[in-house]
Amino acid sequence: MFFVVAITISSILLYYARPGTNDTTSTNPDGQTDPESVLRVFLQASLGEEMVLSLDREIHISPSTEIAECLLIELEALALGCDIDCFAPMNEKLCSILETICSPVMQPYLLSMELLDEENLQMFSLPCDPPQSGTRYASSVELPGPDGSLFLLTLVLVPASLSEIRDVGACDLDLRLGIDQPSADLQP
Amino acid sequence: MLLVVGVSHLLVDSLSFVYQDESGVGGFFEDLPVLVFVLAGTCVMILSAVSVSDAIVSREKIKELEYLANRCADRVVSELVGAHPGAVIMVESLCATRLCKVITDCLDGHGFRMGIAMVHPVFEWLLEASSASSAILESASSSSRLANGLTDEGYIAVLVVRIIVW
Repeated sequence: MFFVVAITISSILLYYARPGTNDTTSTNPDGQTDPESVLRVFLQASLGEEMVLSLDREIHISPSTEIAECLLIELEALALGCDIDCFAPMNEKLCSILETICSPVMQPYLLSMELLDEENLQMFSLPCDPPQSGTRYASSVELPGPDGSLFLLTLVLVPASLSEIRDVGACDLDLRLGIDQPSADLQP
Repeated sequence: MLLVVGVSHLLVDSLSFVYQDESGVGGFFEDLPVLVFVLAGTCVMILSAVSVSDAIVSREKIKELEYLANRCADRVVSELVGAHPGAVIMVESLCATRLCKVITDCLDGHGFRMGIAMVHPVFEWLLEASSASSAILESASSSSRLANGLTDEGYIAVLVVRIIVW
């Protein structure tokens, strides 16, 4: 009887002390996993590359233009009925910047919609719509247009899977070391 | 090997004596099975208690390191941006000596390694600093913060401040 009681007590103790049962929530999230922080620095950063957008007229965007301004130009044009393909190079650049900031722990998705009186109109999702299930973290910010229109930008961060972290981490390291092709020892 | 065989023979002999004790006369050897179970149970409880206390101490230490790393990262960013949250850091003004002093004051003897990197528009290590502490690395925790910085070319860059504390 004593032995059985001892085993039971030990099992209960070890069950509650096993790894992974501690509280992993944090009141002060890490910079690259905090959507509010990522969205703030992303919108305030410069685009870093000169771009020419071919709309009804050519629009030159300088490398020092803030990303928030670039997004506002795109959102206003889309609201006026412009084709999103005209902004493909810029959207690709924006995705690249977001992935650079969040890499390799998070996969970013940028959603935008125009806030109208009757309903909200979705403008674009970069690079695609985020997954509808699983753990997601999000933060939003409103961008007021010069003509009184109001746009809502939402950043959704989805934790990357272990294989994605490994792949992105290896490629990221290659890029940062200036290696074009992944070396053999970095391959999973 | 001989010792193990000897002990096992002794145990078998003692237990066979117990089973042969049909007259019900009590004695030391009759209580041996009970004693073995009690000792085994006590050992299991002691071992699990030691294991659990070790896990709790280790968890508390990691929590403390997480708190220190977060506090340090906040102090470094506030030191860089000054009294204006969200302000842009002048990349040229980054000074390792000043930041080392801030972190050392914050950490109270713990070892640390801090790095500031620009991840956009180009990747570049801007600053690295570490402690001269010879503390043994048993457990560690890290924290990072994002900030905007103004480069020499006039671009607003994205900076990552990362600190590892042990």
